Amino acid sequence: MTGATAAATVLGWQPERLTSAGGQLERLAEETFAVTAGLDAGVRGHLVNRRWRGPAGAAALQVVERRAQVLRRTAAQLATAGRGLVEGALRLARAQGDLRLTVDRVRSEPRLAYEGSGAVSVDWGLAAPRILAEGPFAAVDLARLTRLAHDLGARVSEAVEQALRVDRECAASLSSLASGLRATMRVDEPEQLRADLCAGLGLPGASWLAHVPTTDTAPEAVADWWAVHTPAEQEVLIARRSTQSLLGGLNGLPVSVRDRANRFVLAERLGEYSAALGRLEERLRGAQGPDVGELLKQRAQLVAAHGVDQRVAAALRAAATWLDPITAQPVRCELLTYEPMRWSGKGRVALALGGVDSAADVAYVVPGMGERVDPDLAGLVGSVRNLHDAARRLVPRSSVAVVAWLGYDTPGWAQVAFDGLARAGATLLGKDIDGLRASRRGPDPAHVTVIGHSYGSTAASVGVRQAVSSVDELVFVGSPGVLAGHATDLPVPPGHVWVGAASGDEVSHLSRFGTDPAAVDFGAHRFPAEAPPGTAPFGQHTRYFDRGSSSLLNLARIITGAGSTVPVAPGRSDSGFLGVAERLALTLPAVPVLPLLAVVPALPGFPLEPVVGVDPTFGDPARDYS
Amino acid sequence: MTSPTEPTGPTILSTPDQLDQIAARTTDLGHRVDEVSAAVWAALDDLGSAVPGSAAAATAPGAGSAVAEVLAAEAARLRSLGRSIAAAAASYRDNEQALARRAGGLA
Repeated sequence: MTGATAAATVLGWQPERLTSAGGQLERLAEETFAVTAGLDAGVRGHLVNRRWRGPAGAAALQVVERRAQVLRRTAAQLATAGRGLVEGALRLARAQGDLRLTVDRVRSEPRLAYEGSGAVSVDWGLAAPRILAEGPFAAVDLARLTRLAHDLGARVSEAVEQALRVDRECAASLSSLASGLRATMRVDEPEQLRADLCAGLGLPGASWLAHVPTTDTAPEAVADWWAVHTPAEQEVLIARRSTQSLLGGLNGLPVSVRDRANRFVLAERLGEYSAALGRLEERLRGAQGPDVGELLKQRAQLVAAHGVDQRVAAALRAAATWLDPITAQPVRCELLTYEPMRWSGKGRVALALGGVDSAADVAYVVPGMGERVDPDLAGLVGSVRNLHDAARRLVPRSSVAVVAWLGYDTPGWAQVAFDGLARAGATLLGKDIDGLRASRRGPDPAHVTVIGHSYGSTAASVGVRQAVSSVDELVFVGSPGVLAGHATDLPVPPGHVWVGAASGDEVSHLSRFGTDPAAVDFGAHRFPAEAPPGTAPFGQHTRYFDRGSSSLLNLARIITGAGSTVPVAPGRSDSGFLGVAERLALTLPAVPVLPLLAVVPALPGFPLEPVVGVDPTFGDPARDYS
Repeated sequence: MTSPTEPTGPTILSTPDQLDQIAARTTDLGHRVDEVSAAVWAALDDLGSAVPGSAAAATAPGAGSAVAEVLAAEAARLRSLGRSIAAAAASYRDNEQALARRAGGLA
């Protein structure tokens, strides 16, 4: 502010409004303190007193304490600034009053001149004639007038200076408020906040982007971690190459997020593959002699190393053309697990049809022996499509997602005699179920079914017990035995353990890995699971998901929660002809049993049992589900 | 779960309803902070016209923005926390129901 305009400007100020603003800041500081007290007593106290333990409770408590700390500091700064403004307004009013009185005094003396800048001087235009007329007496009066002008001018300057000093102090107070809060923000910048949260959740790392939880993190904690990010931050995490590969396999994240992250990784791997293949082809075109053989070998290795990628890409391409049987809209296809290098390159993949994040019903299909991403993914996804479409036709108004879960290291012939891979797979299945539950927490949980086929049923029988969360339905089809003595040993609501065992399925008679779930003593609900009409009476182990089979119809009923409409097939009372093979296997446990089955159809006594429990509605055109 | 006869319950002694109350309270506090944020900004914005040409008037907008920014961020965090606690309550409620179902299955 220039001296020329200072006095006039100060006189134009409204200290009462400054008082009002300061008082308002003080009241808002009190309100902020009240919020802090509310956090302390109403939230923090409640969390502590009610003893919400565990990582989520600890994280919530830490966030509350951190927020209370920041708000308390903000409130204190607001109060200081408000008090400064109120006090400044009082001093400003006094200075302004002094100034106004002084100016009034100046204006009351006609021979003094007052300028808006605050300068006071003798008005010589009025004083000079009197001096000339009155002589020495007038000179004395002039001297007094000059002193008065000087004194009043000094008082004006002092009042203006006082007002400006108060103004500077108010400005400093406000500046301090701004810088203090900016310092608060620096301390409490988003990265720090997230670091605090992640620390509360027990997650490692130094910065929030590096805080992507590991796959060992509890799915609930992962869901919490994801929820604290803004949509923009979530997009950054998905788009960053360094984090997208981590997100793809993270249980607890929305499946749509995992799908996007996994597709990024797949596209990148396919790009690398294409470039590497192009370079090899180029070299092959110019190669001669022994180089050709070496390059062909390298190309074969490259193709083999990317077999999983190729299979997944092909399955996604195929699925992109599939239409929902009811809406005729494209079926949503999601790559929720994609670990191409897992298990020495056999790969770990889960691919879902139907939109897992929002489907009312979600079913996992756990395949059996020998099922690998390369080359079996397309076949498994085809089975899943059959089940998805059948379920959609059964309950058109609902929504269903079916997951082709190649999520465990399925055994080959050499390992199928043992249940080790089933138990290892069960752990992974349990984690994935927990992941689904965590990503679907809230008021609209999914109705979840796990369907274990063949050796997959053995894994599923353990997997549902490994999971912290429960499933709503558990189905065994073509089971060579489950690791439970009775249906009630499984953490599934009573009456919701189901078994499908076709009369012509040799493997379902084995009881190789535990109890035959189709046995009457097991206590499961056995349903008709015959292959489509016209199928050979043996070798039906791989027909449970065939279109036109009673098995597919009943599986669709179960996964859509329509279990009450599923017919009952009589349970088995003995293990049939293959009990002999089973007893042989028990005496020689290291001998794989399944290879023996190759000779079974040639043996007398087939089929192993009469066709069981044909569905009375089967073949009814009104109930055509295929 | 280690075995069907030893279900692992949630590590919480609060009921989901109590957590819901905490969540609602936290969210409400977030809304109150939002209101404070807006009021502080308005008060400091008004200060400019109360003392025109002053240093305080020149400083007030920056201070108002800083306060509003901090408080709005705090409000958002409290609301976010409220949502997280509500989600936890829902999750625990699901778990309770699952445990109840499981217990029913064991009965």
